[in-house]
Amino acid sequence: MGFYIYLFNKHKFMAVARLLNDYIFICLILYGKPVELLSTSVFLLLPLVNNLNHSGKKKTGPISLRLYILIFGSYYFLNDFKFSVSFIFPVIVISMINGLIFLRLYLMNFANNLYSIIEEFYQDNLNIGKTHVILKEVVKRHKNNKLVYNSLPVENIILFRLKENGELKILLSSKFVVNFKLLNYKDFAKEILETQYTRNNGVALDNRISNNNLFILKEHNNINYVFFVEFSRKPPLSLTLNIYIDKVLMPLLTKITKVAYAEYQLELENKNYFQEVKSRLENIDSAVNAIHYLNNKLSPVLNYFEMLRLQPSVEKEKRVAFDDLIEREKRNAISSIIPITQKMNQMAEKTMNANIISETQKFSLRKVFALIRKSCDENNNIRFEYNVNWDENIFSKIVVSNINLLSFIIDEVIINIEKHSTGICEINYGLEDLPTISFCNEVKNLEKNRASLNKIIEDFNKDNINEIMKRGSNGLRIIKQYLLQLNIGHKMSLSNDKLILTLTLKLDDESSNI
Amino acid sequence: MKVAIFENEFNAIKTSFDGFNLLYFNNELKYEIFSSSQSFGDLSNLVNFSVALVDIDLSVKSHMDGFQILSQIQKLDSDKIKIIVLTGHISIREKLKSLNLPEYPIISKPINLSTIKTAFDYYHLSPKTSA
Repeated sequence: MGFYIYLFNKHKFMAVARLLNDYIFICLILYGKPVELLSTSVFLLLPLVNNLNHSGKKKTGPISLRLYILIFGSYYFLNDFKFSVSFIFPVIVISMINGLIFLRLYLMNFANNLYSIIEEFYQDNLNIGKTHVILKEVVKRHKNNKLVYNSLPVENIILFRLKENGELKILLSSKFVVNFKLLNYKDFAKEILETQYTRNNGVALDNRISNNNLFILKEHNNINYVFFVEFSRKPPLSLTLNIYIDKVLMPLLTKITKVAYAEYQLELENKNYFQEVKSRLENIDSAVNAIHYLNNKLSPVLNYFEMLRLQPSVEKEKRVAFDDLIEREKRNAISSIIPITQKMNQMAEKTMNANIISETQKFSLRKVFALIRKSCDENNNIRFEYNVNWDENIFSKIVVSNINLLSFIIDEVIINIEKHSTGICEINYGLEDLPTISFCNEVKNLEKNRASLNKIIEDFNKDNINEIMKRGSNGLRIIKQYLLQLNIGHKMSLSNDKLILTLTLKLDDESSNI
Repeated sequence: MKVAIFENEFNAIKTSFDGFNLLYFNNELKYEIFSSSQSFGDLSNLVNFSVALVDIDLSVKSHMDGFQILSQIQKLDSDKIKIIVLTGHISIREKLKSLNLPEYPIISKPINLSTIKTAFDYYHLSPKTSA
């Protein structure tokens, strides 16, 4: 018993011992039986059928010399030391099947190895801007696998975006490429869009010509991507290449396309972000310029009053000349007042209209709910209680807004709630003509602050933004300003000991029927 | 006393200078206005002036901005030229420091004749006869 348990050891020698043990048993059972019959000799073939699953530290290949020695040796022994050619046929068939299964498993294993590149790419960090590393690694792993590389000598992979005008724009490449030119295509875009892939056409890559290659089209989110796979020599078997394209390359390229798309989206986000930052900087720049302008224009005004202050102490002999200067500065000051007020109005107008929404998106009220809950969950000082009167139908309704700005507003609302709260805030998701969200904050020191709160409420509820913009509190100014920009209805009120801010969300036209 | 004023919007502050000149120098200050660095020409000729007032925010048409003019004057290494900075910037002192320029007296815009006097007093240039 102990011997058999020991036989399960993964050591190579034990695997041979197990195989020997199998054949000893088979020989004992078949001894004296007519092994010339296939129905009897089939037992000798069972270890061959199971060859690829045979346990051991190292997986065996489809051809095992020791197994064939044991099969034919056992047959020879059991068949009274005679050999029958008819026994070779099933051995060959099973070996061929084993070979095909082995090849399939090998390719699957290799494909999984390639797919793991993407997982590894994201493992440590996002690696934004380094997606070309994936293509580099794909080529490297092909080269490291001699069996694959002999059949499919992948040398270089380039990912393009097929522009609407039919041009190819290089996105990523496993090797740095400066120039890329198609040589033998009349209308490449038309051809690739029709055939999905094309092979072995002349391509000028920097200062050399590539003729062993293939182009594969991949579409993702209405963007056409084209992969260019270059081989160092012509792949020897067309069949191998076709299996490789279908079973390995296509799924891999689909995954890489998704990575490229994600990076493209991030780039787009970054561009939008910097566009917004740029417009902010432009505003700051114009504000600084306006201050310089005002400083210059204010000099005559300031000097006029300074001269008036000095006038009584001016020596007699200088007084007439000084009075003339005062008169001149008075005129200068008067003529300065109009441009000063014009500039200030311009500035005020710009502040009121400072629009930071670069784009809007459509999203459901479910998203709005999740966004508010997330912001509330991040705050540890207030206990938020939810009272949700929205049903599935309401949750599915669509609003058109800017999700980042809305999130920013909610964060500001919560900061303001925290400033005045006893620590409890109820959020009511209600429904009047339109969906409403009410933040009901229990206010601390209400009696002491009642007058100032009433003034805040009065200023906040005015249609005109001017009053609230005069307040020292940045938070309320931001909330009011951006709620107006997002066209979100808003009303503040004081009820019992609660300060209530109610937001009314306007729905997208298509989903406005509640 | 000759004063060089690098300022492209001198009209707005001319009366301040005229008043200052009348009250404290009996109109004996002779000032010349340069709206750009190139309108002055060779900056080494500044040694012919007792005071140089330099506006940091010269027009974009000027080949050199105020800081560059200050740097050039500093290279002249002349004790004769008293430098006064004209500016609308609040953090000008930090900027001068970062450029390894000395702590010049600063006239911040908007200006009046008394702020000009304060800057001249830094160099003890104003006569005692004042308003």
